[in-house]
Amino acid sequence: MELVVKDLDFGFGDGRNVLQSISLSIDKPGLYCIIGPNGVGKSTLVRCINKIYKVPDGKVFVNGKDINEISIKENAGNMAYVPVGGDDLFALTVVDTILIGRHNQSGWKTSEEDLETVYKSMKLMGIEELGMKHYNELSAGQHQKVAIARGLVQGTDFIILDEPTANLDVRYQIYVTELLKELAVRSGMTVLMISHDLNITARYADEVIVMARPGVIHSMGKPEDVITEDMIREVYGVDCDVIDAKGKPHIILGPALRID
Amino acid sequence: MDAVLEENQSTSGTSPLVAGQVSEWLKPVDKKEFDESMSGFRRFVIRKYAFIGFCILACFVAAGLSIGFGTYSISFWDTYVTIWNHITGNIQDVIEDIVVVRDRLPRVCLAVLAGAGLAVAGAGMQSILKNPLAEPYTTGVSSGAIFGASLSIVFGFSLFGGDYALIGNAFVFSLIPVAFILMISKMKNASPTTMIMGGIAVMYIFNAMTTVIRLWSDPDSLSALYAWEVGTLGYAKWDNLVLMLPITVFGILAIWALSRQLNVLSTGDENSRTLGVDAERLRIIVLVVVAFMTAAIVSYVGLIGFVGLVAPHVVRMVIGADNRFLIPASIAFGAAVLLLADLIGKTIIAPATIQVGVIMAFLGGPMFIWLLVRKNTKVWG
Repeated sequence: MELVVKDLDFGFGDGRNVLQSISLSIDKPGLYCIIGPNGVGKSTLVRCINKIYKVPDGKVFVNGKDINEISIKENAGNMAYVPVGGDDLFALTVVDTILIGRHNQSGWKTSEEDLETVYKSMKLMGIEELGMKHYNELSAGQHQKVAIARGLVQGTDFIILDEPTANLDVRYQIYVTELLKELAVRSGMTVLMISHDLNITARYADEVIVMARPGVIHSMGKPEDVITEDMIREVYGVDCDVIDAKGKPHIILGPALRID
Repeated sequence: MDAVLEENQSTSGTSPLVAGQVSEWLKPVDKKEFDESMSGFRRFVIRKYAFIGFCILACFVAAGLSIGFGTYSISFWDTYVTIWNHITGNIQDVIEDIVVVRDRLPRVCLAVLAGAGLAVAGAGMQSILKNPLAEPYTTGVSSGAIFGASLSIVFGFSLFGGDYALIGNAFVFSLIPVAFILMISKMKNASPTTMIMGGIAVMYIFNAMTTVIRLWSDPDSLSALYAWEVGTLGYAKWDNLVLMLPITVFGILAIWALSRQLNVLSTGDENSRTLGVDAERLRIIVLVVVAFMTAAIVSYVGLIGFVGLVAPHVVRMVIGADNRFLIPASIAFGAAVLLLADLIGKTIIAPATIQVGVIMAFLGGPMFIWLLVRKNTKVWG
């Protein structure tokens, strides 16, 4: 999987650009984390990449092809998306909800292969006991796990996750991040996730993309190069000490310096 | 074991737990564990088929009783024998054949089509508008239809002549509100809320126009209009079904065919897009199909409430919200309920008939309340 974003400006038609000359390129599998304060356009950026928003021609390329020349159906075979939260109105069972992730591969009738994949994804997320529960009966953290499982059964080698660890307890925050990292290594997946936990990002990310106001990429690179005291003060406005933890940066946060 | 351990350790920095879990994920599934874990799901699927089967059976029972009932009484078994003989061209008793096939069967067919069509339309509307209160009439079809019917009954004005004066008028005018909703949603993106709001606004406008018309109407017209408004199967004739049958059947099949996409839509508009489903386009297609289908039904039977709103909810309570099953189950359940309501309406104060719309409300209201109170699982959010 190869992703190239070239000098992308993007706004919602009110004359203000949410994203400003964003350029990035991802050409090998790994765990890529987007970090940055609220409202700098992290979610907007991933939605430009997965065709939820329509970008101008010649800005976003997947495997060398302009994203605008790829149909949404074909795109669904290229990349999966795990949104933050969920809004299922009519309750499907957890099994049925995850099965929706197989929309493109499966036919009219649910096949054994579909069910097996769904079962494995539930085991992977530790929710195999919840299979017959209604989605609406679950907690926010369980919703999150179902959403991740649904993204994984889509079977793409590129997966985009918007804050996958939001609502998860600390054990699952680490577990899910490790899992995504392991999937990247073992099955050659490219994982692009938005994260708010700097320490988990620092420990597991292969590459960190730091976004800052007013919708620009501040820096991009290995965690040890990018996650520094200066960066956190400048981008987040928080005082901190960054210490070394087995070769990875570890952040000890201080007081907030400003509100902007 | 060694191989697994080695494999687990060879990865970069993650724990043995995660390494083991990913190994499981990448391996074929353990059949025995899988079958045990999925037994609940498989039972659920069987339950869905059983429910559909039960509803179809109920349709045949209610239809048989309904056809047999009347001044010229025919036994349950004989009604089906007569129909079979008619189909095979081997008519035994001419009078019975006329009573069953010409006089009473159309009414049953109309009930089946209307019940199935309205229930499917309701299921479709609730799915695309993401609103449990959505129903076929949310499209504004009802207000347009009443306006068209009023023009025909009160002023004798109709776009069509003869038998089709009322029906044709109702059909054409019921599509006008839908055209408005589509225009509004095109101008300001087709979000479900915009569509519902647009529908309600247009409904009020048309209702006001209908009220104005009624100021000029005489008592006879008023009572004719009233009869049509509460919903009736009294217009059933084979000739009349010609227009309604293809539209309703096509509409039902179209929505059924879209049911996998409707499932995807339940995960949200943006998420659907990443799964390859264009939510906005799907919404417009279903809205147009539902509008035509409802318009065709409303023109013949008037406003039969309850079926479209509540039948899909009842079905969801029993078999869940997977549209692949919800749609066919709604077909069977909607048809069965309307047949039953008609049967009760015909028999309860025979020889007089209570209109099907009224029975529907009396039958459906308490039944739905009972289901709401009884079930503690949340069926919608």
